[in-house]
Amino acid sequence: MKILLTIALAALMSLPVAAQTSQLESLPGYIDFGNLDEIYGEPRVMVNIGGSLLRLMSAAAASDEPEAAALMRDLKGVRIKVYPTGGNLGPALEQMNQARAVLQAEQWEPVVQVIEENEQVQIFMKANEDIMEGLTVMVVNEEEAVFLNILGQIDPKQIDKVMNQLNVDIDVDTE
Amino acid sequence: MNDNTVDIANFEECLNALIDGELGELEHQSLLDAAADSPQLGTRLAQALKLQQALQAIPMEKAPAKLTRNLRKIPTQHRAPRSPWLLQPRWAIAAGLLALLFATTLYLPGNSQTELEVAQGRQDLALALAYLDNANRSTNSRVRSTLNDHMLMPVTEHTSRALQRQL
Repeated sequence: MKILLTIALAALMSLPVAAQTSQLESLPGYIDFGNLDEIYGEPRVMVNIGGSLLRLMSAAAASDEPEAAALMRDLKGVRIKVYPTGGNLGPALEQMNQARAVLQAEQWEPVVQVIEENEQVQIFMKANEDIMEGLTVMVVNEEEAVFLNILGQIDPKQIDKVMNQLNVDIDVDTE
Repeated sequence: MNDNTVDIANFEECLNALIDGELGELEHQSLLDAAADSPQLGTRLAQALKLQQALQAIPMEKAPAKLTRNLRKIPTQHRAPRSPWLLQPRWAIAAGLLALLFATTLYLPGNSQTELEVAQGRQDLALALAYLDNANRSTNSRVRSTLNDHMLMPVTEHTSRALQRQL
């Protein structure tokens, strides 16, 4: 009986996660960044937030944090993978170039491109009739490789305010 | 509840069903959609979730010992003819308790799971935004410095040439 209960609970809890993953893959702003686990090991940061959770977060924040709630409401998904490169930029840059080719083939617009000896940054945006569908940020430097994919709409001006409202102490400054 | 869509008219009904743990997955999704679309409904959903948490936090008080003793005496004072074992009250109570235990097992972890997911989601979102902000700042400063490197010289040369022409 206990085993049956455990299996039933596990199945119930795993349903929303599986649903969120397939939900993200079907969206137009989704980009597959491939896998660098074999080269760099487990990602230092890996985040996959689906639309259902974002809507729940938005509803929970609606009364006390209206700006954060508005930002979450416009998002359909957030994915990020961060690998420690340890000075080995080659594989990450190769992955970045592959992703860039896919982005260009799928009509994403390059917004910012920085190519320097010790760091490369690529920012792409996908829009459909003035409605933003996705933002992709790729950063590769001596310390880390960042692959960020935001699905839905985001206003960069809101980020500072929302981060203050989310009240989470985060330091990702690697410079 | 047969209708899976949630509007303002049946929002209250859905909130009650949510608090009672009787909301289906599709209705739950529709409720979230409706709350996401309307700040007013979002506020009411947030209030309902707080009420739900408050209800869960209320401790169960034990019945007075005297009342318990009196209740225990009733079966011996009014002994009814024995019914088949499956229909006897103790089995019905046991079955009810088992059903309640099962429902509680399913319901309570679901709520705490949702709260954990929201808290984790906020932290994850803040982390992703921090990386986005970092990339944004980094590229902005580079674009500014690159523009300065290229623009300072032409402006200087152009200005000096114009001044020389005037002289």
